[in-house]
Amino acid sequence: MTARIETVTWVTGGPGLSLRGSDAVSDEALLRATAGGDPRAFAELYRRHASGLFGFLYRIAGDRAVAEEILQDTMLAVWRSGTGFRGHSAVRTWLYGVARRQAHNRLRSLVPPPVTLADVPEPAASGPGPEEIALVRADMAAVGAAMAALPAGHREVLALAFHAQLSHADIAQVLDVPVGTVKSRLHNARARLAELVATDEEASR
Amino acid sequence: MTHPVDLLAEYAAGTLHAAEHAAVRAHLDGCRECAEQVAGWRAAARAVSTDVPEPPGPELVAAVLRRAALTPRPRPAARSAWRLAPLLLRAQVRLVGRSVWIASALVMALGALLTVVGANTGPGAPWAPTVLALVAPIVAAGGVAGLYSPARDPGYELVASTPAPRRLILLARLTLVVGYDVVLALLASVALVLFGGETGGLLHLVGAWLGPLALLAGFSLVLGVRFGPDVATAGALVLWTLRLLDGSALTAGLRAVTGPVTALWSTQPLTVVAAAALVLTGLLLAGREEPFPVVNLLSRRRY
Repeated sequence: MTARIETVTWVTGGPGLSLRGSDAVSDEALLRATAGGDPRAFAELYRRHASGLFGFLYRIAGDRAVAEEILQDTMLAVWRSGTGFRGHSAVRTWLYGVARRQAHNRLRSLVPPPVTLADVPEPAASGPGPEEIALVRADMAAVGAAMAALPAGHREVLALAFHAQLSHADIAQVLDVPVGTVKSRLHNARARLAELVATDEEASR
Repeated sequence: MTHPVDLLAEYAAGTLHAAEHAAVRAHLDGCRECAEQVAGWRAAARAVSTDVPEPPGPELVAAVLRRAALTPRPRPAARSAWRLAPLLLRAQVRLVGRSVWIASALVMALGALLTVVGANTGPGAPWAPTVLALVAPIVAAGGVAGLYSPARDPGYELVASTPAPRRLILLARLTLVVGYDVVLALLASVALVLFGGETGGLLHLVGAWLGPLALLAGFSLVLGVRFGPDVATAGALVLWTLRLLDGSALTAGLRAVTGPVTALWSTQPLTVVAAAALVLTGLLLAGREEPFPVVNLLSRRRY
């Protein structure tokens, strides 16, 4: 990981943030320096969040090249609008919000799932059904195929929760919906995923 | 502990606080049902991260910086300003936010209603100009306060990374909001002259609020750009309150402050000049935060 920082030191010019022991520098400080035009801070900010952001974008774009393009758009927007961050959320949450808007900007077809009655939070779970068990036991190939077949809104919320590992409150900020909706969307997404895996298994039997 | 169903997803994701995490873990030891739920969430988590390729390395940062340097905010070259303006204005209508449009209309309607009621029951003096001169400016100031707030702008980074300079966007929004408020106040004025028994004539009535509206909107704009929407709203309210209280016994000691405010609170050359200066200042300040050299508004006609 440290090797990565060194490879970008060529872009540095003049004094900037000292990134030695860079984990001690907060994301907020990095973003401030980025807004001030410090490319080293920008590179470090990217290094920290590249994996999470890219996974998130890959999941909603479903294509590696497209995800890379959106990630570039996202970082360009961050580089140009870092001063827009006013500290009402964590930098990380803000970054996912930026990435999501850039993704929607590029993939116009990406619409959030409609809020239906099924979006009402589920009561205490009544134990896993046979489909849930299929999901737990399924092999990775089957799960991957089911994932690709999942609606974009479901992939989005799952990626934020489990790949980016944002808390539900943070996801609510990114998606601009109430926390309750995040929870019910997650439940629906998991149920749909389990369903897809189960029907897939049935078909291949 | 009752079943912590609500926490299981975050437990599986590993995003709970340490104390909650420990509590859920303790519960899971004795509860098969919840443990199965967690297994379900873990399966979903595995599914999410399965076959995700490695992210691009630092070369992406270099590419972004190159793009930023080579395309310093690409300009809308293909479209002429005349064709771009309506598009820009239409786009801003949505970004300004519905609440501004609705609240402005409601407050203005309330002011007109108050005038009608007051004219029938009140002192009989020129009541309509007084009320409109108070209502119209504060409506405009309130609408303008939040125009340049990254925190309240849902499309902020899109704006920042698209061709149009921020000042132009701000100018477009300002035109929209103030124009809308002027139309509302005009409608109220016409209605009052036609149906409210206002006898001073339309021009006199419009003169009562137009200058103050421009002045307070300009004041709110400068504060909003420099210090954010809350300060702008508060600042406009302070000026407004000074005007409102002028002449009352409460502010007898503040004559030195309230006097000039009242003197400016009309449509006259000095007010217009002051309002124009404030708007200009606001627009100038709006460009300053940019990490890039700002495209000068005046020199834009070269492109």
